Amino acid sequence: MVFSSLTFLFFFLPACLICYYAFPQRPIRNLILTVFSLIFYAWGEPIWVSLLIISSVWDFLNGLFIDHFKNRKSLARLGVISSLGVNLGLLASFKYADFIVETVNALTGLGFKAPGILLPIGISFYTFQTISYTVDVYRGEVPAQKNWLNFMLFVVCFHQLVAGPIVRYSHIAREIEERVFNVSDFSNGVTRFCKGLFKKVFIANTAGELCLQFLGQDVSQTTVAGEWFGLLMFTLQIYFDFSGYSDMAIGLGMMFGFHYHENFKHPYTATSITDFWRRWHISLGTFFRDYVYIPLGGNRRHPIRNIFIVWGLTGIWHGASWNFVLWGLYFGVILWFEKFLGLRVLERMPKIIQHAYSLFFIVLGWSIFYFTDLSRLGSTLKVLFGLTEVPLYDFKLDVAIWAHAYWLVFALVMCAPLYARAHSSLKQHLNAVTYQWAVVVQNLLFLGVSVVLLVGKTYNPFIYFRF
Amino acid sequence: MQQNHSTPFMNWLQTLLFASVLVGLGVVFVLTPKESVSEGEKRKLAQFPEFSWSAIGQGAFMQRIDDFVADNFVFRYTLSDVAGQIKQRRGWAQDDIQVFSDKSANRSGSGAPKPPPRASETETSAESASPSIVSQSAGELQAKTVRTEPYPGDSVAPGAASAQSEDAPYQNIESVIIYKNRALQLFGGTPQMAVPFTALLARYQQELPQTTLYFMAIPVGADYYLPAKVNKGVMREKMVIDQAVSLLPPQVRPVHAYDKLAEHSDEYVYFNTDHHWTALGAYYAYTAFAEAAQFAPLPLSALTKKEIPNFLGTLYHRTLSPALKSKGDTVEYYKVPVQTSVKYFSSGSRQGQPTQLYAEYARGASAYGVFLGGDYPLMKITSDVKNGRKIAMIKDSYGNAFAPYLASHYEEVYVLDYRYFNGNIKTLMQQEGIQELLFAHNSYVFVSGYTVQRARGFLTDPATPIARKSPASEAAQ
Repeated sequence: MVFSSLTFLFFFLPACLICYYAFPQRPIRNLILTVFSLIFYAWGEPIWVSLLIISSVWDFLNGLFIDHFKNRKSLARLGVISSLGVNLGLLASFKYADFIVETVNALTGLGFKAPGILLPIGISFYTFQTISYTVDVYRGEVPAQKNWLNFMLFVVCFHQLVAGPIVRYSHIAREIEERVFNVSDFSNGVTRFCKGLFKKVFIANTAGELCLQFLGQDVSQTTVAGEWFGLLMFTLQIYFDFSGYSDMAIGLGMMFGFHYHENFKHPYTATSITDFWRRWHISLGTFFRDYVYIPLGGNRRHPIRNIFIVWGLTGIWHGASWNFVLWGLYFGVILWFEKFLGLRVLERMPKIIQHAYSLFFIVLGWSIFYFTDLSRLGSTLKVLFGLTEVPLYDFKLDVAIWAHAYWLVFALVMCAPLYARAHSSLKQHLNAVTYQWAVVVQNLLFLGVSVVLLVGKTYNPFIYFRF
Repeated sequence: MQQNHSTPFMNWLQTLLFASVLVGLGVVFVLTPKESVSEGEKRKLAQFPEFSWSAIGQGAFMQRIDDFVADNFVFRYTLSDVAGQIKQRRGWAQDDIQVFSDKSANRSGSGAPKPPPRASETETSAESASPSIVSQSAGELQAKTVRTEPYPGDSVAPGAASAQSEDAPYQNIESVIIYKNRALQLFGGTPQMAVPFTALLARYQQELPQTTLYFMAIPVGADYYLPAKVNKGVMREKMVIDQAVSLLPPQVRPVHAYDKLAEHSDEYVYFNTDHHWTALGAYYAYTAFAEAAQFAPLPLSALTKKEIPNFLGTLYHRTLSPALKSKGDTVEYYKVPVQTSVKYFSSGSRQGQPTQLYAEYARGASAYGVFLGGDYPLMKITSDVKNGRKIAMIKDSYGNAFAPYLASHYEEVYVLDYRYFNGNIKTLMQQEGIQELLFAHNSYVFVSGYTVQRARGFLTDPATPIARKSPASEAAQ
């Protein structure tokens, strides 16, 4: 199930809230949230819910094992190895099997048959969450969870199950057992959720349509400006889609008394690529920092090797295809450059140059991310840099830009921290009640427009006309 | 700081408001009655799925619930309309042009495009439909009855094949452009795409040496109305049609509908909101046909003009453009001054059923169905013009508006829909004594390989399309 669906908004979520708040006892609430989360997951992946349960049972046991042998590190390490083995094994077989087989075939000329497994949704997120748990228990940073149901809730909670953020066990360990209902949390959660839904439905979906319109056509039909515009639309789509989901996850968490960490901090206002990666998908970046980069030696031992390992992995985490590896390494190269020279040069430049530099490489990076077909990527790059015969622009771009002019301005403004600043300025100038009324109106507007657009999408006349 | 800006009362208000909106709409959804068919979208709406463990295991059950919720959501038509308004207001139409790309059309998410029903399934559902809408239609048929027809399509009468089956050949619809409140389809065809169809006509000429063959390419009209900014002066339809005509086998007579329509393009010859031409457009094509077939066409004044107001066609429903909605359309039709008796043959049936030349009860999104009642596999129109001339035409839905005019000049007109007709055309021509055959196709259709493949099949299909008359009645003739 996805948050931006009518079934979720008008059936799943209200049913879950009603059942949850019908019981004051926290253990029952945890149980209800777990059951609803399993339904949420099974809605789209009825078979793979088994995988989810197996993975959580396994790491629950690993946690107990590590905890039991916490004074005998060499034995405790076995628990970490078993956790890593199973989780990475799951990823390798369910996410990367086809990719591995195809790559082996391409390298060796052999003809192994790709198993053709469809990626179980969310597997990249929940395997990382359980890995972080066992490692943290091993490191003694958190005590092991003794109650299997509580651990299940951490793994399967529907707020962040399918699209992140990657929640660390240590962030919510206390709240699983001790959280209390707080109406201001719920109310703030509503605001956050509506904002995320609106970002997803109003901005990301529109950007997605435009992106497909301009990047989805044959290269010979494109124009230079059209390809750049399409790429810009993908830049908007991926940010508002992903950060919208994170907002909704954080908002939902608050409605149920959880406080998840922020996952995005206006990434497109970054002044360098290093800065960008501190603002983009923060829970993933910190995961790789804490569980790969630093254990490998961080800045102290083989920093260059470590950078490229981390960024190769970051790339491939995003999808089982070579373009993602390329995308990760692309950032690896830039970050390496910035680390040893670039940042010092950049810092002396005017702010506008810093922003322009960052945005250029971010947007260009998205082209590597977008095209899983490397030959299409190659021809697109040629078009982007004017190395082909296609025209500079055409009427379609002209019409598309004007037809979305207000939307475009709004979307670009929403990339900057202006929204947050407007709210804090309103807070200062209005009294509490007036300000909150304004927030209520904003939420109704966001929710209303989102629902209208979601319903509008259900209007599907048959596309093939009958002549 | 935060404390100053949040009061418990407002927090509770916001919390309860949010919860009641979600719960409330959900409850209203459960309580309101559901429709089975959407006329505007010309498709069946998803129904609540039957429970089965295997459907749950495969996820199909949940998918169908999502579809059910999406297709039957409360205030769906109103909200879709508002969605169109919101989309319109995301910017403005520069130079009056709006583009609706095929790729970005309204179809994703929960209501993702559903696979078209298999032809057989379509047929059964049409057969099992309420037995006789036509008999009711002697009087005024309630729009409501039409709405409950499964897969109504443009077809408003039972037995008419409904249309969303394999009309796959329209990949070259690039996008829909709205210019000056008129929806236009960008035609992406190229001249070499005309070649297979002309080869088909050569084959027909060989197989039916005694028959007079006509080829009428019907433009869909973008050439006449697109601004130069969009087409840069390139008349794509004209290029394709000219190419087809230049490659015609010697005995096939071209019908110059393109030029006739071009002369009258400032009149109401195409709908603003639908992908079809109007009866007036078809009338001008009929005058072009009269030249080719060497008869004098009736003047418009000899025909009785009727109107069905408030028509919003397929391109409106595709784009939900408020501009199109405010412009709207009227379906005009011109009744021919001859008596006709009309029979249709539904798929697989060789016995005709009576019907009318005009389904005058057609209303709303199906108003174009007034012409012949929709797309039947085969129709036979017998008129009181006792001149012995008989013609067959192979057509797409553009032909529906055209066929009635022929009744004034032919004793018998056989109308074959290229998508649904099955049977041997040579048998049909010989058995019924038909001397003339007209191919009337719009430019999307005649450049498509599927059309050629279907029409080639008619030459070799072993089936007899119409049951032979008994020897006695044949002797009596």
